[in-house]
Amino acid sequence: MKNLFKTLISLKTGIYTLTALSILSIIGTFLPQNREAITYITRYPIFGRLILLLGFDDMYKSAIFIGLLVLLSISTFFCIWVRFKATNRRLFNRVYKATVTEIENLKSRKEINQDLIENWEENFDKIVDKGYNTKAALKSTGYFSLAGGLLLHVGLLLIFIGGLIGLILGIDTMIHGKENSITPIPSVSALRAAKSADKLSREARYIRERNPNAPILNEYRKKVEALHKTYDEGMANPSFNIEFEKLWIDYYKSADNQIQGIKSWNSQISFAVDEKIEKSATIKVNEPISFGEYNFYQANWQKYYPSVKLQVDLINPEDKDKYGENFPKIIELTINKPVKFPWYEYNLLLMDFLPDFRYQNNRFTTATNELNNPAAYILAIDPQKGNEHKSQAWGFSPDQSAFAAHVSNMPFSFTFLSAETKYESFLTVSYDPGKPLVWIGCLLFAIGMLFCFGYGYTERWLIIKEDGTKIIAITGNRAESFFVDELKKLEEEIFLTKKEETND
Amino acid sequence: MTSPDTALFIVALISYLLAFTCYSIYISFNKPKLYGYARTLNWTGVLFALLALGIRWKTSGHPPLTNMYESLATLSTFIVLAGLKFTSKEPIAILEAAFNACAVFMIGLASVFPSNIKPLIPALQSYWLHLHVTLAFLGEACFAIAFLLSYLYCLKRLKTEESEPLSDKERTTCRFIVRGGPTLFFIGMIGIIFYLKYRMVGSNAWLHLAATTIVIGILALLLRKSLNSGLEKLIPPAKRLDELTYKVIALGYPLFTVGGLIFGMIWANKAWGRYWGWDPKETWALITFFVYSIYLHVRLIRGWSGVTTAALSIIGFLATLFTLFGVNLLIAGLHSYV
Repeated sequence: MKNLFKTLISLKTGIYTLTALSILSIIGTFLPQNREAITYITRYPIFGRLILLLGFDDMYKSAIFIGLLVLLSISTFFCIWVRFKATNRRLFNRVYKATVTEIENLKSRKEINQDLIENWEENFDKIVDKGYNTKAALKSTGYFSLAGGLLLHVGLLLIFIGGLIGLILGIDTMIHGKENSITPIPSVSALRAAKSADKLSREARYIRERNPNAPILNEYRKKVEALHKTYDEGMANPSFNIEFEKLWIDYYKSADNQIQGIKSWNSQISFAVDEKIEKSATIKVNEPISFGEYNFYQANWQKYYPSVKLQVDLINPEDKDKYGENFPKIIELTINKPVKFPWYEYNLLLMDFLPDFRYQNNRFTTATNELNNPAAYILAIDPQKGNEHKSQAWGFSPDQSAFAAHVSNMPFSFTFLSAETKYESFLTVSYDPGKPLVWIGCLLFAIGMLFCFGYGYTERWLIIKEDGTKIIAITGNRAESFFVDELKKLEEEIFLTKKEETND
Repeated sequence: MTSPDTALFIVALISYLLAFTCYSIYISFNKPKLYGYARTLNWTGVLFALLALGIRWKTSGHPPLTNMYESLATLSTFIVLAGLKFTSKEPIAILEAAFNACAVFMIGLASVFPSNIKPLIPALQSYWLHLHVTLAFLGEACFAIAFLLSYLYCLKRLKTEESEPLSDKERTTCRFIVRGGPTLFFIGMIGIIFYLKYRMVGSNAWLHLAATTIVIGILALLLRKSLNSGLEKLIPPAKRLDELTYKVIALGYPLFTVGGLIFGMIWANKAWGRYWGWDPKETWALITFFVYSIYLHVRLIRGWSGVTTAALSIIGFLATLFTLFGVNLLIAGLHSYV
């Protein structure tokens, strides 16, 4: 037991633990984290399985990493215990507890033959009799510095404990909402169930990769189903609902009103418990809001375009007889909402809208959410025949309209005019019961450092032995060169110089 | 047209270059008068750089800490400022020349990155930007000075080996540091040149940097002997260098820990909803913290000093460099602002 204790408070343990944590942290920054198991196996054919076995795919939550943090915490705890006792000894009754031998063996010491000045006692806080007609005098300064070391380590320990609590009990997830949408927020236990279900599903996928018929997969399936049930029940009976009332973006604008960049994303939301609004607020980045057990942060933002305005033209002017004279026409279509126009036998359905159209890997896709190359995909459907797809067309902006002819088989050409911009807000939802401890720990750590590095603890000793020998000594927690200067100063303060002695 | 802050940085750069020339002549050819001119020119450079930063702050509406150009410019200024303050009572010409050269290099490197002023993205709109980045940079400036002191320490120990013998391990470590340092510098420069050539297509910056590297290399070879004799006379005793290293780390460590880590945690919690996410920048800042924690523990508790602590100081600074630049350029994450 004693050996274990010695190992835990040993500086070597601390250094080796910090070194191991540093090495693992470095690996974690270069190795992609939280990918699917198959990614590691294919990308790292030699080390893939070892990476997964050691849990390095989620390095900072792996057993090895957490184990090292726990070891560091335990070591810190016992170091605090030892340090507390040592600090206590120094702070209280130091002059009584120190031995003459201890003082005589200090590095910064000097034996002086001169006489002391008359009021030398005024230079010391305490003078005690150490027996055998030996006196010891002490002046200590910089007590804060001693407390600093202790505070620093207590702060560190609290940060570790708070972090561990957050890791085990904390939850963070993301919700998103469009204007006037309502998102239910379930209880912490329901969210925790969802988080556990995700973790188990990931483990199950890895097992399935190696052995699709492994019997343990049934157990995983049952556990995941139970957890999903808890989550679903939580969603059905949420703690409260969030309504995204209004979403808007503030922009930086130049002197001539040109948009230069996004200044802030703003989400005006309200929190409703049993359909009664309890709180309304606007969330922005760096301006989070708390409600219930959760904290909400503006994490991200997305634009989308539910409706599009298009100009419709006849490709063949002779079709005027069939479709009417009044072309071009301006129409508005909403995604997934078919519309019947009087001049066309079929319904027109806006199937998809790509704001920044690209043709990549044999697919039509969008590069960004900005209206850089808008393209609307329109279908003609027959409602009489179960919405049978009759023909299709693409609507591009005027400068890209030539492309549309290649991919359209409707009698009409469509030209994009404008799109209604709407926003979708993404909020991080966080619950971390360990945070208060972490903040207290950070405060203590900062104060501890201020005391440790801002103040220096110094002990100035004078020993007067029975035979008249005088020894001065300095010790503390500063650099040796400081004690050399202090020793000189002490000598000059309390001893008569040779000249003064002669005059006397 | 050159912006006012860029023009002032160019003036600062010229000042630093002239200062470096004066230091080099003073060190190599023992011209004491030039030392005074060198310090004056260094201070002039710092003042112009601070003015440039102030103007940029006023123009942009935010502190100049938000991209690689601004970071390099600000950090170079802090390094020279901290170094000049540190050597105000105890002049160490070689150290001053070294951090002066660092500043020249960093301003030069800053010019490679886009310097146009952009409005702050939502995540950076917080007073924590001022506190977090400024204090972290001040801490890192102290680490840079500690690195230079440690390098000089190893150099001094090799030069005074006859009077203060080194063990085999210490000798190997010192040689590795003294020779490895310049080697690493040149490898780093080659890496940056390739990065500029292949990642920033269309820019000729890689050519300028390649030319600068070749010129530095040639100068170093030509001046090797005279620099060597100057160094022998002007490097302070090894013990003093060791103490100064501890002093400057004792100043930089709380600044970096409070500013870089603690304030960073507070800000991350406000902006992203979590105080720690094992983001590469956060992780490397923590690694830097670990290394300097080890340094302080072995020094204060075990009383270790000398080659071991010098090596730790150098490793710590290499970790700092990776935190500052390696993460931004090589590893993408929430913290990558280029």
